[in-house]
Amino acid sequence: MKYLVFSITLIINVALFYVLGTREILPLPLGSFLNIQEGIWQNAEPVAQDFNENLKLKGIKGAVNVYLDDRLVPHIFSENETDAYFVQGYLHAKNRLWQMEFQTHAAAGRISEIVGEKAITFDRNQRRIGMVYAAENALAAMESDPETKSSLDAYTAGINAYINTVQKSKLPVEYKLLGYVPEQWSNFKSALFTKQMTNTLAGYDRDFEMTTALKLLGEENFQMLYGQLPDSLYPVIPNGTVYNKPLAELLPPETADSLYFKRKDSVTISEDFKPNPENGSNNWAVSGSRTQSGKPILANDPHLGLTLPSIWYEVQIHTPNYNAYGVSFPGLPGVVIGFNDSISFGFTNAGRDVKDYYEIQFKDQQKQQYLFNNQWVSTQRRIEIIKIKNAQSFMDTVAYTVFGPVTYDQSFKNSLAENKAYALKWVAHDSSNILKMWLLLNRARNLSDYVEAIRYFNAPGQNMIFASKSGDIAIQQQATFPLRWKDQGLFVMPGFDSSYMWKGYIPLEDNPRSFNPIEGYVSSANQRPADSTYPYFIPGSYEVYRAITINRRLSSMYGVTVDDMKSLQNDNYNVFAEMARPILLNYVNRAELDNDQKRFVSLIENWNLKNDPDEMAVVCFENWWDSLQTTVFKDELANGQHSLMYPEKFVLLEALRRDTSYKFIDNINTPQREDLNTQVTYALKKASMQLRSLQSEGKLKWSKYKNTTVYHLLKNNALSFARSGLLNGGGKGIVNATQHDHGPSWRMIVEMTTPTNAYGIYPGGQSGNPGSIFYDNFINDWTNGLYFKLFIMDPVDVKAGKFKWKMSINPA
Amino acid sequence: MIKYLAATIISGLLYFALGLFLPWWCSFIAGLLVGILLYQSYLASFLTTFIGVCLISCGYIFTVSVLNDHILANRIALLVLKQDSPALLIAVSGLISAFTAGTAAITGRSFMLFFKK
Repeated sequence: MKYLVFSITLIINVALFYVLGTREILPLPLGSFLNIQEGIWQNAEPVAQDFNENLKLKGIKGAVNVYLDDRLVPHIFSENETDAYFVQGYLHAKNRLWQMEFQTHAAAGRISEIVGEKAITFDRNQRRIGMVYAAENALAAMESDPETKSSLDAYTAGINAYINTVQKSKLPVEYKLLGYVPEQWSNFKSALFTKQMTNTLAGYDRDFEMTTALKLLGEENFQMLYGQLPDSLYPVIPNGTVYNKPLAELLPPETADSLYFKRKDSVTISEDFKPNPENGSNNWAVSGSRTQSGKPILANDPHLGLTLPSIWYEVQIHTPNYNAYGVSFPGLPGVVIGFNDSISFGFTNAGRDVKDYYEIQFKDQQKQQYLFNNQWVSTQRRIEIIKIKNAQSFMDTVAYTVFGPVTYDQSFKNSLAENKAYALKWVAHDSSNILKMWLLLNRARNLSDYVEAIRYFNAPGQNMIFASKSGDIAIQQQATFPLRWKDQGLFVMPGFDSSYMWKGYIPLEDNPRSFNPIEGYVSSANQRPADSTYPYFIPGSYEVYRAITINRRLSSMYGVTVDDMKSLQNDNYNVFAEMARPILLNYVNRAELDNDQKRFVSLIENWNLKNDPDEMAVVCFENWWDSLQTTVFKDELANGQHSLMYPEKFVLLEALRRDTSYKFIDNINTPQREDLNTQVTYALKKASMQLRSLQSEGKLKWSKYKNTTVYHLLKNNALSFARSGLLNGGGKGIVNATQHDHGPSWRMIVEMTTPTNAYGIYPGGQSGNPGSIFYDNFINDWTNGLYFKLFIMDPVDVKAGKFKWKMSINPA
Repeated sequence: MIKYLAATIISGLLYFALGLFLPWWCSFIAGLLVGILLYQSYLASFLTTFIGVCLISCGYIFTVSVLNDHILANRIALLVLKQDSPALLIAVSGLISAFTAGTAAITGRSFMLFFKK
């Protein structure tokens, strides 16, 4: 009996140990995961947590005090900058360690190490677009500058001071979910972070799609569908500005007609991991001549994927040299969007195309030589080793050409012919020290300091806005942008001929800029920076409509207050619908409509054109217009043999406003000729099926339909860490650019009075811990369009004890 | 009765103390030690250990979770158990330790019988 009992219970013990201790049977090792002393319960932070701390850390030179306010925003008081960056690194790690490491792993193509084989294609793509190569170049530039290097070294040391002292049981819950532990941080990871950001903001291109579209549609149709200059363009630099003539006019190579514009074969690449083209922003600065206080006001709201933990971490850095406040990137030292005691600064994305593909002819499958200027030129081969969780590493050979890495070849896209490949030329690969710009901006005192600081920034192209207490306002579109002949880089270029290479870069002094304009304000909203008289060819992915609303409102505002700026950032007016609604209403055949359809039309007719959360007309309008777009273009663009990308939204609207017998209205698959009335009516009938079902599900209200969601970085794998069902208004093309999971990731308004009067909010919280009350505590106020008054702490406040917790950090 | 109560308390305290130094499988060690050192029937070994470890685990976790307003428990329960039930997550967490400790106690108890003449 005793043997039997012993054997049975021993077997049960061993089985339990195995089942509960590994991920082989259950998806999680529940034994450790739910354990009281090492599992997730250690991440359940008490709501009344005491954040007071006395720390002694190796690597810090002097004493630093961090005062935390009631929103957990740290106010770092340090006697020198390097110690401030050390502490910023420590705080980033303490609050956002998993996010920082995950994002830089993603940048480096190392996600397979964490999640296994399913991420191999993603990782290969990251390596093949040269993310690691780009980060290496950036690191070399950053470390060759003594100030940047010492700042980065201190920041890295601060992060590692946390990693080396944190108990394993206190590691972020995501490490416990995924089953790994953090590695040491390095300056290289910060360089990777800058490239991740560059890819997010300057990694979108349509070269392959455009090449196919041109070949299949012909030049005339192509220009009608994919032209880049909307009639309603309101550029960053106002229409009519006179620009310097370039030194020489650039002409296409003599062979361009046959080899470039009218290539014989088609290109069949589909890119899998494109960044969201909606990554954009609004910013504006109003001069004192238009404000109630007589001092400039600057506003900025960057539109990015909405994530938890947030991309931003709020911080104040106070040193004898400067006092900067704003949001920082966990992964980089300094303040990224913010202000100091003299100036304020912010950014919107330029959206310019700085990424081109060249078709490469390899000599053979070894990829060791390629044809270039009638010679076989050697490639440099880089072996990328992709480690995979629970599997053998994957080795990927990436050939580097005179342009850059060969992203697509037969080994990655097996639809490609044996020796055919596509190499990537991308500004992101260039060596540059963009961190220097932020270190200089953080302590800039005036317009000339701003001009000097932004020269260091090469990518991703940004509209850099500025305002100072001395009364200046400015905006400049800054980066190094390729110098191109007309239409160069819209399509895949021949890679065997050096005459198709970029002709250098547009001189920095020719970048569009506006300093203290007579209008009394500057602004940008991802639109084309300049009108057609700008003397350079500047393709890109541009927004049209937000800029119109912003300029309309700013131009009519006087005696501007912070509240006016809050109202503008939260403006839900739909200027696209204002232009498009008459077309729908004037051309629909009402006699053909049933009662439901008539009701949808009536909702749109009586709509105040605002994308407010409870508005039902928005949903009807959006679905009807999308349906019209499909009705008009599907026959030409998706006909069973090919599927071309749809034109930008402005194309159809402006075409119909110009000409109601627009050639694409007719359905080429039917014998009769359809007119606009037929198609508008048909589009509504089609859309009404969807609208009826939305109505029955109670999702006809805009906020219910849109379902604004702030996802966790693990997206659908951690839905309970997300916040969904948020009742936000706004949308695409609206100043309040809140879409389903994308939108204003930080709203900031800074009035340059003394003391500075600043407001801000982001959809998240300072802690990256889903078990903390500070994880998502800003989201409700963000949804409601509210702001926090930013507490710019000074030594008097310290003495008065105006803080909630204090961390004293001293050298070990 | 007092004997059983003492065994229950000893089990819980031993489990908690070992957890300060050892990983999650300290519940097996605690159970084995209780089975070996405290002479009880199989059933009593299992029950006293199970109850002792369960009470201390669930009690501790419940306290932690209440102080946290169940913020994390809600999120993890949805993620792992697909149910919005912090109570269930607390119970599962406690039962895992308790059951592993209880079965280990029977193993320890039967192991000791090898040395009994």
